[in-house]
Amino acid sequence: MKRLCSLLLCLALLVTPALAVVAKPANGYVGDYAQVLDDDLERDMVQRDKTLFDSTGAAIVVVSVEFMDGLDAESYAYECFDQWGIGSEERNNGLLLVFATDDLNDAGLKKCWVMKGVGLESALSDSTLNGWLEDYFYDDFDAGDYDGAVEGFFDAAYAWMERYYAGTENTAPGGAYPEEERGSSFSLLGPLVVFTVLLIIAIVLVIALSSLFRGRGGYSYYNTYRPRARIVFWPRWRSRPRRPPPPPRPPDYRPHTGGGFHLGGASRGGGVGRSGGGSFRSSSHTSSRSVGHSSSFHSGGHSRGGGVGRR
Amino acid sequence: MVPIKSAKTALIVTVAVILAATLFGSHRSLNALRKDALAVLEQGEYGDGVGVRSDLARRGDVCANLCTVARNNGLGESDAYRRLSAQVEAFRAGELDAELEEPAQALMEALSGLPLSERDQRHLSNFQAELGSIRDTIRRDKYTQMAQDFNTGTLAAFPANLLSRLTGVRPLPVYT
Repeated sequence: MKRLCSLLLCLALLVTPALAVVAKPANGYVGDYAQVLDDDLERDMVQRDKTLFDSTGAAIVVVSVEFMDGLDAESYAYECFDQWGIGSEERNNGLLLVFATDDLNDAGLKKCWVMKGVGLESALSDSTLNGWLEDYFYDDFDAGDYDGAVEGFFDAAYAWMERYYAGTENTAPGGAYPEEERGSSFSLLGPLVVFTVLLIIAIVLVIALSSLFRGRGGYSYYNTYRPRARIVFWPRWRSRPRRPPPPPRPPDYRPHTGGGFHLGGASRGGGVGRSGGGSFRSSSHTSSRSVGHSSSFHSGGHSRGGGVGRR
Repeated sequence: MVPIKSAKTALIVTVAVILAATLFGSHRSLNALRKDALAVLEQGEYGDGVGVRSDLARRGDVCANLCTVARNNGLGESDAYRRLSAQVEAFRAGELDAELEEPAQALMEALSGLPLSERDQRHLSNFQAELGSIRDTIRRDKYTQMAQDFNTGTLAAFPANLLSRLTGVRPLPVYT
């Protein structure tokens, strides 16, 4: 029995993948694993992030670690983004800042990286991110003032997010949001109406045509009998052609309904698009783009990698 | 329809039909895979236009801007500048696989040795950040994975390697 348990334990250890990155922060926004950030700053950032997520689906996640487990900063950030799902699944508008306090790159500088979600690729350039790091982050970071560095970067990123999503002046729940996703913006309403009208016309035509071809006491839904010619005069000395027997009634047909309805985009590869759970779910209902409707976002945004920082 | 009376003829016809069907079928299947990957190249994984193609276009723009900064700082006649500007022209003319990365790095190295203004230093830093980011996103993009799987997996295995040569199915371009 003991041997069996040991064997099972060994097997479990073998099949369990070793995670190179830290776990997603419990609060979802700030993970101070290196224990270098002030509690008040952390609380403030979490609160502001919650407000930001509820109103826009965006999230600015900050993570401090001591080491990056042998990975370069970009790979570490990508793994975090990929496994945690940052920002909303619907908009992929997460932003991740991860830095190490004791892990140096080849240039002898502490590693740090900023990575953005796919939904921000067109709006937020890498040059802008690089500017934030150079203007607000690097100096304090190199000097060991992690609070100053993080606060400066966070404020810059937060202000940008507010400005970006304030385009319609409706960032508060209940408002409409700018259409920042790329791709088609045409309305489906017109084609849908046309399609519905055509469908109704087609159904009416089918019913009308089927009633024309219906024989006496015939079966309109399964009529295969088509007389080749209408016989106007039939000599009395010939018997009428026998009407073929009616076809058997088809069995009842009930169309099978489809499967689930998915909110948000698909995930890529391993673990992308994982939901952050109920804690990030806004209490408001599903959105439309018109004013007066509030939205609910689900955590799980993904990134294509890239970003800026010190590898 | 004339029936085939000779067994030998029938056998030949059967074999010919099987061969033709195999070639046609494999050509279609391989081209379908190729087409799927090229769609991801052009439109991105989610059809939103964010993908390798947009990354390559962004790289072209960054390199063009780098050339401008280099020219403004007196490097307009240098070999590094000429190499990069020629590649940018080629890229703009449609050569997606124009080698931009290495000439850009060479030009940035040349620029970093000059006494640049603060503004140009910031530009240089941003160009480096952008080019590095683009390199990463291309590397991680789904198209790159699909192209590598297609080239080294599908086309390399038998009988696809033979059939692809017979039917003219080309490998997918891989960008870095």
